[in-house]
Amino acid sequence: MTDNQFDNFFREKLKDHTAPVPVGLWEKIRPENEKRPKGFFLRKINGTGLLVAALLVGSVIIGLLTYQHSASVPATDAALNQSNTSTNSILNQSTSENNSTLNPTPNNTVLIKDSMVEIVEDPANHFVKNAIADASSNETIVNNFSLNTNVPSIKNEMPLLQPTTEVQQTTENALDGINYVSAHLNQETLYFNPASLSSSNGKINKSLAANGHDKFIKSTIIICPTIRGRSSFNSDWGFELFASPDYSFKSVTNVSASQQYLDKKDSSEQMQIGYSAGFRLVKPLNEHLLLKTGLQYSQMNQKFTYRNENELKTTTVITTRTIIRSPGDTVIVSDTSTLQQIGYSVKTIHNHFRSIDIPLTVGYQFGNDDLSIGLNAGVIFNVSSWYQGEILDTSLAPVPISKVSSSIYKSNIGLGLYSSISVLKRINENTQLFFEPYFRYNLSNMTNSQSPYNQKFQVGGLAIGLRFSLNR
Amino acid sequence: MLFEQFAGKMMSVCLRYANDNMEAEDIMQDGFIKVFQYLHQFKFEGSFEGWIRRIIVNTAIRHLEKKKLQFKEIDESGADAPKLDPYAYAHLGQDDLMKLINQLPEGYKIVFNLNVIEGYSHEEIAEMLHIQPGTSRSQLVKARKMLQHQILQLQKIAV
Repeated sequence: MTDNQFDNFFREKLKDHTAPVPVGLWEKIRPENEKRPKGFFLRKINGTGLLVAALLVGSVIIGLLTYQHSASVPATDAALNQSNTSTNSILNQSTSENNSTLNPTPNNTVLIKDSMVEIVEDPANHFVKNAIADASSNETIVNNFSLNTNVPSIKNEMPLLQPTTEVQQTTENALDGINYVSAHLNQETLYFNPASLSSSNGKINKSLAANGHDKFIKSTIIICPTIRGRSSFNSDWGFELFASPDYSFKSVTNVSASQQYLDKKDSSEQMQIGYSAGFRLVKPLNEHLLLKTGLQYSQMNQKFTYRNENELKTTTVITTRTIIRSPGDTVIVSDTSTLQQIGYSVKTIHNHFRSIDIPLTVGYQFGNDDLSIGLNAGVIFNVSSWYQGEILDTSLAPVPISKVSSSIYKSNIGLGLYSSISVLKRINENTQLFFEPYFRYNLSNMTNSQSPYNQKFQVGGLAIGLRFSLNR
Repeated sequence: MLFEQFAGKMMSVCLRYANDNMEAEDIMQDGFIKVFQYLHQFKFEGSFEGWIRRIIVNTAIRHLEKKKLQFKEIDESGADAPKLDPYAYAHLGQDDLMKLINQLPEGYKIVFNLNVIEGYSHEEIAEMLHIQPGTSRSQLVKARKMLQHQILQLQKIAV
């Protein structure tokens, strides 16, 4: 056989040979193709950039808080200041004179802002608006009921002026919590301190009941039954338990290693899904701001694959032949031969990088008690970290590495930045379920100065957990 | 779709040059990124598959060059090319041939692939690999000889 025949045989056989394409290869190619501009932008973001971004987010949050505060408070304050000078005396007057002060006139109106009751009378109908203050937003949730003068029973029990009188009595009973009362003759306005609201509200209801109007209340007044649904400032401590699948992004920069080593290291290491779990204590600082700290354990996983060269495989081949020399003269011949093949084996090791950390974050939370969203940013202090598994040494040979024998990985990676967005859904009175996508950026390298390369991990994940309200 | 149409054949090319599946996957990924990157430069001269194949082969060579490609002269003293009858290898399938090629030392394998399968001349190979044409020729001869030995060994085992 000529070389040409031999070559042609190979060429013809392999010309159109196809091999199975690994699953997901297209996904790796496509993003590379499409993400190029984005990658360019992301490459530019370093630790300082993230810090600046965190500061910007913090500034926006503080700005929002300040704006909200200044937008809501002055209106109330202005009204309060305006009425304050003239109302203290009127308060005494109105409390001592009882019904006389609030004697209704046609189109008489009693408005209680920030607190609870608004009565509007007109010749045809009496409207009593029972408003339970929303302390967080200073807005009133209003439940209306009307005293329709056409209904005989109510008319009999409660003449036209009765609701106003009743409210006046109620107001008196609640006076211990009143800071300001502004009673304008044409438009009487009573201001209640929101802090005294809950006690006042109870007294109002009790008072209404004590005066035999509970039936009336039940049939007509819809009083907000619970505090649920309002987003009042709850200063209770919270406790969060969470677990999270996460994925680490490795970045390596060369110090003194050869390009060949870095290429080999890069091709032999593949990041895999890791996880984090921990707990946090949550302290609300005000209506929207939360401070969180706790302890968490994280594990990053990495698949380390390397070729073990010069693997010797020995195959023993026994060939048995039967030789018939003449009829009846049969010889069985056994040949034993040994075939040695030198090749390589591929070994896979799972490396783990573990760390224990203390997060300290500030969160801005908005929404209501049923569903709320929080933006969190802060720092994460490493307590301890260690690497276990195998890595390539500079001679491209795999070497084991453990918690005690690690010479190139630090036992403490220092400070990191943490940011997240949390979505909380109440599942019962004291418990909320939350989902929190987060990103952690480690400021320091995980390798020490002896290492021929610098290596960092950035981690992204989705924390899923429960927040329990304490002190309830 | 372009990728689906040519991925199977190009994966086979990558596997012939790479030392393992992971490396082949890397070459394939890099190669197709280049294909998409330079797609607009295709002049419609010659076959499109040939153009893609050239990019993949070049990518494979650049990839292997990073690992310091070595063209070892393996001492095979006194071992002449065994006389091989065509029927001795006629039964070998594509996968068998792929295995045989992959068992060759790196230098032999690349030269054999470039010359025999891809059809590059020794001068072209020398230019691509930055070696002498003579080196390419000797690597090819030795590759061929080693393949024939391997086929003979297979025959023996099969007996």
